[in-house]
Amino acid sequence: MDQLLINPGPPLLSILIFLPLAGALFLLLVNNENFARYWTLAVTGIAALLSLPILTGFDRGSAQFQFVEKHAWIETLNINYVVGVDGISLLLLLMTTFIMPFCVLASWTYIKTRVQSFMICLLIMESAMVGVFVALDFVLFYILWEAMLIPMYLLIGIWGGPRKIYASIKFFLYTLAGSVLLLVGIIWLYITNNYSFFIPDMMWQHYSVTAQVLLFLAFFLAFAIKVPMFPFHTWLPAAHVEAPTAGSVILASILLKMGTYGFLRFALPMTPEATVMMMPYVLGLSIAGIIYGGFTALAQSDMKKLIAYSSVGHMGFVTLGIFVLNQQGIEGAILQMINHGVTTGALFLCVGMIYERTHSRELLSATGVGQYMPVFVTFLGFFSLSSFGFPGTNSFVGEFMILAGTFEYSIPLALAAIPGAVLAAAYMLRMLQKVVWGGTDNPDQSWLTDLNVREIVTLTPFLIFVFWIGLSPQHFLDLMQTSVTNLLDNFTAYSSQYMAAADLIVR
Amino acid sequence: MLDFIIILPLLVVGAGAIALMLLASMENLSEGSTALVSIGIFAFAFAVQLMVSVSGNVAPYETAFSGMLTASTFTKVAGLIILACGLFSCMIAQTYFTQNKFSSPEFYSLMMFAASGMLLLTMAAELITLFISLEIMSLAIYVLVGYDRSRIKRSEAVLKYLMLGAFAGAFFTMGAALIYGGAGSTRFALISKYLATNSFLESPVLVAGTLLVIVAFLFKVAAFPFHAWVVDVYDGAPLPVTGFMATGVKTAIFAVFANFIVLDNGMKGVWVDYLFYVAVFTMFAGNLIAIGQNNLKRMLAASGIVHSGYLIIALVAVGTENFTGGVIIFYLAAYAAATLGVFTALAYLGGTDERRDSFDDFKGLAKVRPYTAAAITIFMLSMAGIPPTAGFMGKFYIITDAIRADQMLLAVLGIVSSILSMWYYLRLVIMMYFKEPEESFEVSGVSLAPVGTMILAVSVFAIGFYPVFL
Repeated sequence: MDQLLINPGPPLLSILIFLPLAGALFLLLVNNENFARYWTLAVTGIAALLSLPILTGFDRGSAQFQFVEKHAWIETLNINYVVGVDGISLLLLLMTTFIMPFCVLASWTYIKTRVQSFMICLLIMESAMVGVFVALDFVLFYILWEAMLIPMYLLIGIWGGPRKIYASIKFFLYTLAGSVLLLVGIIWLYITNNYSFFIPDMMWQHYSVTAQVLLFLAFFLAFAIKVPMFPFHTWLPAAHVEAPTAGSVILASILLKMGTYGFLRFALPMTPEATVMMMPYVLGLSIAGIIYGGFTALAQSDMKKLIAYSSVGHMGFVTLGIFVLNQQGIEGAILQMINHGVTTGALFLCVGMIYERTHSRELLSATGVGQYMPVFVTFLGFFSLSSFGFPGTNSFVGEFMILAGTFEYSIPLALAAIPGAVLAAAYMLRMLQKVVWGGTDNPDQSWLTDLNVREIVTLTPFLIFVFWIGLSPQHFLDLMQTSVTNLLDNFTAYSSQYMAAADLIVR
Repeated sequence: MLDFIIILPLLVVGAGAIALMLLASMENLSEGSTALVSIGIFAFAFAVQLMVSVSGNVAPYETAFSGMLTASTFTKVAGLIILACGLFSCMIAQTYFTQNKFSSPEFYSLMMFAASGMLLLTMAAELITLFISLEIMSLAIYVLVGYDRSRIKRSEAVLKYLMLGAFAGAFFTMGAALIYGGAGSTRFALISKYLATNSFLESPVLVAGTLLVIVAFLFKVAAFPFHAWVVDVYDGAPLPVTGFMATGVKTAIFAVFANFIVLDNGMKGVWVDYLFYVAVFTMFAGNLIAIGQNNLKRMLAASGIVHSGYLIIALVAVGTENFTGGVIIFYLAAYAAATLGVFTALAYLGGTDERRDSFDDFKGLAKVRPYTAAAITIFMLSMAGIPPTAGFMGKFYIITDAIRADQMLLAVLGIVSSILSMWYYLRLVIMMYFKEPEESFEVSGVSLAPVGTMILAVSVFAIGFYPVFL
C-alpha cells in the first residue's frame, strides 16, 4: 500500500464520481426541459469547480496515487472501492470535468426532443468517465469502463443522425467485444496476485513471458479498439458522424483517451516484457494509422468524417509517443491526449454549430461562410491551425515532443511519421479554405447568423487552452513529470535486458 | 422440533394452498381478493423463511427428518428466491387477469402447490423425497400451463410439456432405483459415504443411475440436448406461469442439482467432463435459437436456455469441499429478478390475450412510457450482463469461479456467448428507444404489476452492489 497517499480531507474523488450520478437520479423526477438544462449545467459546473482543489492540492513531487479513498465493497472476493489520481490521470480527470459543462452548452438548442433523458445520459457518462480515470480496483475499473457504453449507445441511438442505429450498434458491439478478453485477463491477474484486484499491486510483478504476452494481447485488443488504432478504427467514423455534437465531443475528447490511458496504466506496468516484445508492431500500426488517417481525411466531403479520420491520425501520434518508451515520447503523448481533447472537441463543436444552421455536414454546403460568420471562422481557423500542429498552438508542442522522442528511438520511424503532419496540414487547410472562402459557386449563405453569446462562451475556453498549452506547456508537463519518470524508471529497471535485446532487433 | 422449523415456510405455503383450494368452492370469492391473499401468503412465507435462522454455513448434509432433508444457507436463500418468485408471479397474475378472463381461485392455489414442491426440492436429500417434490412441482405446473383451456396454443404447450416431463420423471425414477441398487440407500448422506469408500467408476449401476438422474435434471432446466420443448411451452403457457416456470423451477432444480453433484468428488469428476460440453452447447444452441425469434416470450425462453448454460458452468466449477453454492444462488437471484421484471412489465403492457408479444409491438415505447421502457432496458442489460447490473456481477462470479477451477476455455466461451446474446437483448432496446411509436400503449385495469416492475428494477442494482448471498 506504499503507492497510496490516503486523502485526509473531504472525499473529493468520490464526490466527483457520485455528484453527477445523483444529479441524474434527481432529473428522473423532473418534467421540465429548461430546468433540466440549467440543472445539468449547474451539476457539471460544480463538478468542474470541485476538481480544482485536486489540482491545487496535488503534490507534483510524488509519483504516488493521491487523494486516495479506500472502502471495502465485496469482501468475499476482496473487491474494494479504491480511487486515486497520479500524474498520468490527473490531467485527463480535469479535462473530463471541464469539458462536460461545454457539452451541455453545446446541446442547449441542438437537442430538442427528450431533453431530460439526454441530460441524464450525459451525467451518467460523466460519472463513469471520471470513475474510469481514478479507479484503482480492477473490478471497479471494468464496471465503469463497460457501464459507459450504455449512455453513449443511447446518445448516438436516440439523438443521432440518419444512420444512428447502425452506428450505435457498431459502436456498442465493437467496444464490448474488445473488452471480453480484458475481463479474462483481469480475473487471471486476480488469481495470480493472491486474490487481489488492487491495481498498483499488479504492476511490476514477474509474470511469465507467455502470460505477459497473452495479457498484453488482451489489453491491446480492448484498448486499441477504444483508441482506435488502425485497423480497429472502423467504428469511429460511423459513431462520430451519427452522434449529436455533445456525443462527438465526449467520444473524441474523453472516450478515445481511455484507450491510451489504459496502455499507460495497465499494459506498460503489468506486462513490461511483452510491451518490449510487441513494441515494433504497435509502432508500425501507429505509423499506419497516422498515414492512413491523413489520407482518408483528405478525401472526405463530410466535415465530421474528416475530423473523425483526423482523430485516427492524431491518436496514432499518441500511441507512437507511448510506445517509443522514453520520457519525451510519453510526456508528449499525455500532453497530446489533452491537446487532441481540446482541439478536436472544439472542432466538433464548430461543425455542430454549422450543422445547427444549415442542417448539413457536407463541406460543399458550408462553403464560403466566412463572409457572413466572421467570428465563427476565426475560431475555426485557430482550431484548424492547432489541429495540424501550427507552432504556437498546443498540438505543436505535443507532436514536437512525440517526434523528438521518436527520433531518439529510431530515425527511420520518425521520418515515417513526418508525412502525417504534412497530411494534417493538407486536409485541415483544405477544409478551412472551403469553409472560409469557397469558390465561385458558393451557395447563398447570406441568411446565416454569426455565433451568439452562448456559442462564443462555449468556444472561448477551448481557445484559451489552445494557446495556454501552446505557449507555456511547462505548467502542464510539471504535473505529470514525476509520474512519468517513475514509470520509466520502473520500466527500465524491470526490463533492461529485454530492452537491449529489442534494440538489437530494431537496428 | 428443529426439523419443523426448517420446513416452516413450506408449511405456510402448503397450508395456504389447501385453504385456498377449499375456499375456492365459495361462490362469492372474487378473483382480485384471491390474488391479494396469495400475495400475502407468499410474503408471510418469505418473512418466515428469512427469520428461520439456519445461521451460518450448515454443512451440506446436516440433516433433518432422519436425513431426508438438508438445510443450509444455500437452501435457505434458494427458498427465499422461490418465494419471491411466487410473490411477483402472483402480482403478474393479478394484473394479467384484469385483461384476460380465465382465472379462478384454484390458479393461485396451484401456484402455491408448485412453490411448496420447489421448496421441498431445494432441501431434498433423499431420492424418494426428491422424486415426490419434483412431481408435486411438476403436476401443479402442468395444470397451470394448460389453464386456459379455450386456446389451442395452451393445449399444445401442455401436451408437449406433459409428455416430455413424464419421460424425465420416468428417467429419474429409473435412475433412483439404479442408485439404490448400487449404493444400497436413497439417502444422499449414505450414498456419499458409500462412494467415499468405493470407487464410483467400478459400479456400472451407479454410473447409469446418476446418468439418468442428471438427464432428468438437465431436461427440467432445458439444457442441451434436452432443450427443444422449452420455446413452445414457454410461449404457450399463460404469462404469469411462464414467469414462474422460468425462474422458480430453474432455481429449485439447480439447487437440488448442486446438492446432488457435490455428493462425491469422484462422481463429480466423471460428469464434469460431460457437463463441460453440455454447458458450451447449451449456451450456443440457446443463443442461436434466441437470435431467430420475433416473439418476446419465445426469445426469453431461448435466453433461459443460455442462462442454464451459465449455471452449468458454475456447477462445473463448483468444488465439493466446503460447498456454499453462493455463486449459483447469486446468479439465480440476478436472473430471477431480471426475468420476472420483464414479465411484470409484459403483464400490463401485453394487453388482452397477450396481444403485444413481438419485438415490433414495442416500437417507441420509450416515448410513451419512459419509466417502463427504462425498467425493461435495465432488465435486458442485466440479462445481457452489462455492468453495473446484478447480471454482470453474476457472470463475473461464475467466470471467476471457472478460471479458479482451471476452466479457462469455458470462461472464455461463456463471455463470447454473452456477447452473442447482446444481439437479441439490444434488439428490444432498439425497438423501444430508436423507433417512433405507432400506438399509445393504453392499458386497462388497475394493477400491482407496475409496482413489481419498479421494485425489481431497483433490486437488479441492489443485488449487484450488495451481494449478501455470497
